[in-house]
Amino acid sequence: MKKRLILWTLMVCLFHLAIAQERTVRGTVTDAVEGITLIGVTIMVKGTTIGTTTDIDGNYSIRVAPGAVLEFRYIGMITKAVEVGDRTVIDVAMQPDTRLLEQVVVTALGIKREERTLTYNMQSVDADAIVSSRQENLVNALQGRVSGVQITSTGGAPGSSSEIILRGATSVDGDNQPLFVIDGVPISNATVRGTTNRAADINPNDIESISVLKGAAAAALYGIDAANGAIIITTKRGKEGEVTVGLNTSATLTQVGMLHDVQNKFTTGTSGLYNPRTFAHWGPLFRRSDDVYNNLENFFQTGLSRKLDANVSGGSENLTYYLAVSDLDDDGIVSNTNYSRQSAMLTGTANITDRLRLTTTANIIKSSNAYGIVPASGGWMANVYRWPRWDNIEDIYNEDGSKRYVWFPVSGVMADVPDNPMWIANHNVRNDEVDRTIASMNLNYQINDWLSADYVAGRDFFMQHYKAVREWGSAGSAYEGAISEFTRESEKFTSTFILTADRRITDNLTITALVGHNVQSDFARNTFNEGERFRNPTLHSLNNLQELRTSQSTARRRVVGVFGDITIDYNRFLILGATGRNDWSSTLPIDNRSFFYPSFSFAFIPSELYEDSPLYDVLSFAKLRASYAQVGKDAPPHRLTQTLTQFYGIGGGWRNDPFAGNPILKPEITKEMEIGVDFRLWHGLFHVDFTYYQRVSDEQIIQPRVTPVTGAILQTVNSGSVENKGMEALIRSQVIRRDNMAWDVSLNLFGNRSRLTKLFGDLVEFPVTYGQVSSQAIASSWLGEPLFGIVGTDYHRTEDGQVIVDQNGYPTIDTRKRYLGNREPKLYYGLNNNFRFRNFEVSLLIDGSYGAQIMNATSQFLISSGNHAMLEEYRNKEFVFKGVVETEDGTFVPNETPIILDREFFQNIYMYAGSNFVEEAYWIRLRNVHFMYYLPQEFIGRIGIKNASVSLNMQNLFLITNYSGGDPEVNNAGPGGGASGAGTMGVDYFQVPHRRAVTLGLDLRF
Amino acid sequence: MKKLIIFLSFTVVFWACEDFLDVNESLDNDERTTPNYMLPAVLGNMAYAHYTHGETTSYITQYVTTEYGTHAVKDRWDYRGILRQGAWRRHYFDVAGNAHKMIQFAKDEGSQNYIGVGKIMMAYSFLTATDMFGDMPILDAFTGIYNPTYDAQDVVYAEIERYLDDGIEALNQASSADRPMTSSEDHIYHGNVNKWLSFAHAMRARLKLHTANFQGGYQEVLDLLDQARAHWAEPYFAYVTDADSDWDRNMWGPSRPSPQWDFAEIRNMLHASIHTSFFMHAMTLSGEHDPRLYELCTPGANGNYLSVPASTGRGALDIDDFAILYNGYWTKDDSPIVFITDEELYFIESEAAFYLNDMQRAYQALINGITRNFQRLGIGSELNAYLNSEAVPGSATELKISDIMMQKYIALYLQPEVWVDMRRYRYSNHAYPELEYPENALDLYEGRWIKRMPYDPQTEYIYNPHEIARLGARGDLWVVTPFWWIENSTLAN
Repeated sequence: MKKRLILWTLMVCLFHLAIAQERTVRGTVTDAVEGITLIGVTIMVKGTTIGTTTDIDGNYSIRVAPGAVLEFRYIGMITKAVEVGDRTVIDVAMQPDTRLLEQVVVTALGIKREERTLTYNMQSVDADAIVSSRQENLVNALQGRVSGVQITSTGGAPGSSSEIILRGATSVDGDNQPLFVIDGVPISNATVRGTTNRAADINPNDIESISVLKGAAAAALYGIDAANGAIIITTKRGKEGEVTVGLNTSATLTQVGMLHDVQNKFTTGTSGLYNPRTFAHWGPLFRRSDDVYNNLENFFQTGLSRKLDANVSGGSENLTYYLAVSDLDDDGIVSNTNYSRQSAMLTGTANITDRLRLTTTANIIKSSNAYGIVPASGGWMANVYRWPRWDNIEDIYNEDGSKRYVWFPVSGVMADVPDNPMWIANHNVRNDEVDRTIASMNLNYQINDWLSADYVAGRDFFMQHYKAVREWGSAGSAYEGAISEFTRESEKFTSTFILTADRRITDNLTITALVGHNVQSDFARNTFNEGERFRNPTLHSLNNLQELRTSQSTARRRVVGVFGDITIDYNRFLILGATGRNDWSSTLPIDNRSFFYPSFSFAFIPSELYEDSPLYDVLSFAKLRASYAQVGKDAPPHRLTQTLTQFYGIGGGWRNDPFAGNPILKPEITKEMEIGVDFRLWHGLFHVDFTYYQRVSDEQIIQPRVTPVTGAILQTVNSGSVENKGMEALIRSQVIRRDNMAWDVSLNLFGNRSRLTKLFGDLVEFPVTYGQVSSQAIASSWLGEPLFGIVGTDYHRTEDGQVIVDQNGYPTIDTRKRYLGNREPKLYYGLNNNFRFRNFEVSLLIDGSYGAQIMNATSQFLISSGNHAMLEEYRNKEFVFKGVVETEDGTFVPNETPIILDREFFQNIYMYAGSNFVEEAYWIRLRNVHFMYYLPQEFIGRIGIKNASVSLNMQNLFLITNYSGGDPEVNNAGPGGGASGAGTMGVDYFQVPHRRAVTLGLDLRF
Repeated sequence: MKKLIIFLSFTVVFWACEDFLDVNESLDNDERTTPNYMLPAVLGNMAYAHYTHGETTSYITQYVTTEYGTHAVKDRWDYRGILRQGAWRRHYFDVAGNAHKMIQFAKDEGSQNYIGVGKIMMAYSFLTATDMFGDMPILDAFTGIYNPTYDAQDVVYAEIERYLDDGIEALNQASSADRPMTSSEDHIYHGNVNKWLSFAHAMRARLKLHTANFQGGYQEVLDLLDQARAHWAEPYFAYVTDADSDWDRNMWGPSRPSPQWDFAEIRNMLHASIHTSFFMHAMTLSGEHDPRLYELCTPGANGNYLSVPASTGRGALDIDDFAILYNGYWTKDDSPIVFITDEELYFIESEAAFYLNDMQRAYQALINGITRNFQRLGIGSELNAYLNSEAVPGSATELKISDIMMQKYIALYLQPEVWVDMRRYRYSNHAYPELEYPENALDLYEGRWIKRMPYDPQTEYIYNPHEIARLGARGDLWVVTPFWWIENSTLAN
């Protein structure tokens, strides 16, 4: 120890000796265009490792030897080299680099990297885009802005959940959603019992940027939960300087979007006979004197949503802070539906010593969602569509305030009368309340100029309380009232330690390496209480139930991982990377719980080699990249053995749990290959980034149904294989970039093709096991076909596809199930336009998709109930079905026998061909229009405001589609089933339609 | 020293690590229990299964029909669009699966009484299931094989008998060393081993009756009945009066209980159902109603008891002129479920004796069956008038097989065993004189009667396609295709 001290002192002395011959150069660095000073410009003495940065006023000073060359580097500016000569003051004006080559992005584990050095495709969305999307569910804010993602929302009810899948689904029945990470801490995005996806708890206004890590290569460092990619969220931070106060307020009016059409000609009844006690609209024509209510439109109201955000930030050299509070109150387009959220986030960063920095964040959120509607598996709008048109759906009370029944039942049992959906909205309300705290601590220690250590610990905890009350007088078994309630405590704890070395070994070679250790612990405890029959009719408490059932479930999962990552940058034109990770998961059998998975990647940047040639003015940047990665995945917790579960019948005790165990489970491995090119023309006027990927998930951990002959209903097994291939393209252009005018355009494209190549046992089909609504066509995966399949029945057809018609002229139904279509669009696209002219900003976001088959179950049920719009034209019409009739000798002749398209035809034949309800749809949506006006500085400056803007924002303004059912962006069950497997994307079943909205906003900064 | 520290820290880290990861056992549910905690689920689920079978078959056996006449399954026998076939799962998962576990737990601790009861319930569940479905896996059941072979029905029958043999053997070895079985576990016999033995013999008598016509076993049937009667008590599953929970109610009841979500598809539809002309004909003699009618249902608003032919719907007839099907003996919220009734034993005896030409015994058993049924319904005082009416043959010499089968039909109102009888006789008018083919049954059956239930489309057709293909169970005509004991039956004429 003593020896070392002497050595150290000696070195310091020598150093002082050396610099004695140098002198100090000072100066100020400014932006040549804007004229403002630049903070944090890196100034290096060329050929050495000596350097400094500009301070808050743009000033620097550095000691240099005579004849040295100074290199000024700054993100977004062209690097400038200046010979010092004998000057002692050198002021530099830097030119903006419109190529944006040096853009820094946040990658896995919060590591900031220059975009140019990335060896895989990653896309970021910044705060402005997130805020201007005016979406309170941050998942929706990404819609249309990033290639490679598919986002579908369950509908337009406040607090509706949204599902996000990156680069197609890989799992036949597991969760296909990416991991959400905030400031280095993974958080829960669970959806429980149809409540919202929990990432929606995050206030979008608190977000600085979102990076979407789509592939396995990008996500390898987060381990198993990032097998489906990762959404990396960075929240806002305080900046050194005077106190800034921000105030942002907005009001949004919402309106129902597009609905299915219904017929307006026939009243209730069957086979043309009037019946005042049915929803079936197969009755006679309305008489001219009849009241015909437009129940469908009258059911909706104009929603009003208000939001207030306030923040204070600032700080000194050693301590910065950011404090934000927000309040959202969203009243929906359906009576008595509401989503509200209050949050407070405090972030502080303290430089404890020169080398040790501590950042802590606490985000406290309270959200509450009331809805008398069930977004879980759709279907709730069914009775709105089918409500008798002679009855006003808005009349839900009698004059004395009691519940009004639509008819008096034959049986005399009032419980047999269906509830008015409007009454349900007001009296069978589900309340979902969440109290959530996400806290994290990040310690960074700069060991020396190339080695640093980071420790991040974070905890995401929430308490969810869900209570659904069916009031006294409800239809069916809840006539005397019922309560369904659960509480959920969910905790995600993460601890990550990383040691990072970033060292320029020689002039040409830089190595960045890190090793890390990670512990993750997930815990969720659910307590369910359900019961029926209130003693006192109006007391909605568990205490008041005559019958109560309770159960509890606890899920625990722990994962420990060690990982390493090395990137070698050779002369800025060749970059090689490798990662490796080993995980130990508690959910796998002891013998199989440890598993390793690597990734390798490289990038080649030829444009670095010809920087001085004329070619550089045309092809200013070119990069080729390729990567190969594996990601492991563990099992859901507690799936190794079959347990017993409560028997509620007489005598109680235990019974078999439906899940069979599997003590020999192995981890599942996904392999992904990605290649891409990135080139920019004419110094960034055009930027094209293209990626192709292939992905295979083998030996999946799936939970197929098994025959009950085994004694179980479901079993966890390693089986099944899914392939995904796809391409992502991003084309950007800065069409105009002048001092007071700018126009940026960006277009992103995405297409994915999936195929289910292997299945468990003899299975040829893997049906989605939740949210199924029709038995003629279902969301299901068929072996050898795309994962997002529709499987169902069709007409009997000849070999060349003609419908076979029977002797009486009726088409015949082939009840064998077959693959009918693919719910995944062939192509997604998003076109973003941003204009800025003086104080005005306008942005337009148009997105759409093409080539998806939609399973229109709504249409099928509208046919069944006689409400379908086409019945106006076709019901009771004589019609010759296009098809062929088999003759006695086995040949086919065209059908010429007319039939009458009556109720029997529609209900017994037409409805049974599932293929009648599969539609190929495209859509183009003007998703977002955003106008913003910055109030002139000279005007607001006088009243002490630094910055003020007003904005007008319109969402979902119009939609062009060939889909018969209004809006084809449907997902009847959403992530309610955990976005499991092929999910219910593209299944239309009476969901609350998407909203159209207009928002007025005011943003002030003091 | 340094090395030691490194070694120690590694040891500590990995020691901690192993422990740290051992959290995969469920905190809320165990893998094992003692057999006494499994028996209620076996018995309770068998009662639900019995209801499921009855609810499924009562529209086929023409006790009831829907008031609309348009129900795909109940009126048209159209199984093409069904989502599920609950009876399949009810047997394998809910009853036999739990019985299988209970037998394992009982074997581990050597409780012969629980082994015996488990085997007997296993046999009963398999018997009622195969009589619905025909061929089905029994040898591969509960072995963990995902694509089990479907055993031919004669093999299934032989295996059921083996379960009975094993069950009887175990019960014979039951002793006080066994875990006690009391009324809190055994809701049926309160742990009385002899009654369970009698039930096993009675079950075998029922089983043998199904095949006696082509295997010549009528004497064996009678012998088995004698054994059964030694300690016979009805296997009577009582529900709770004024129950608070759907779990405690008979699913036939007017509250239309649906205790579990996956029972939803078999909620009773009696509120939208009416009696058929076939049933009402049996309950009517020269303008008078069989007094039992008033105990099996409730008068409608107008006090009339109209009926319509099966599957035709009531059309323009007023619903108030029909009986309300609830709150009869079998259709209350607290009605019992009886696996094998006293009456059934008498009618088995009567039928077996009839074919052994022991007409006196056949006649006496018939009278006993009718008598017991009047007693059950609490109208013993009206028995004599009925016995003296033309509904009942005056003497053994006048006895026809249709007398026995129609009286059994009435006495076993809504019971699933009646569908077995009708199929043994292939719905012949010889046994069921007024039975008519339902008008609205699918045309594609071309007048063929329904013979069996399709397997569960949600499982078998998807998860065991090769066996389904081998059996040819995929076609639309599968449900009208006879299985073993129907095909071999000699009773059609």
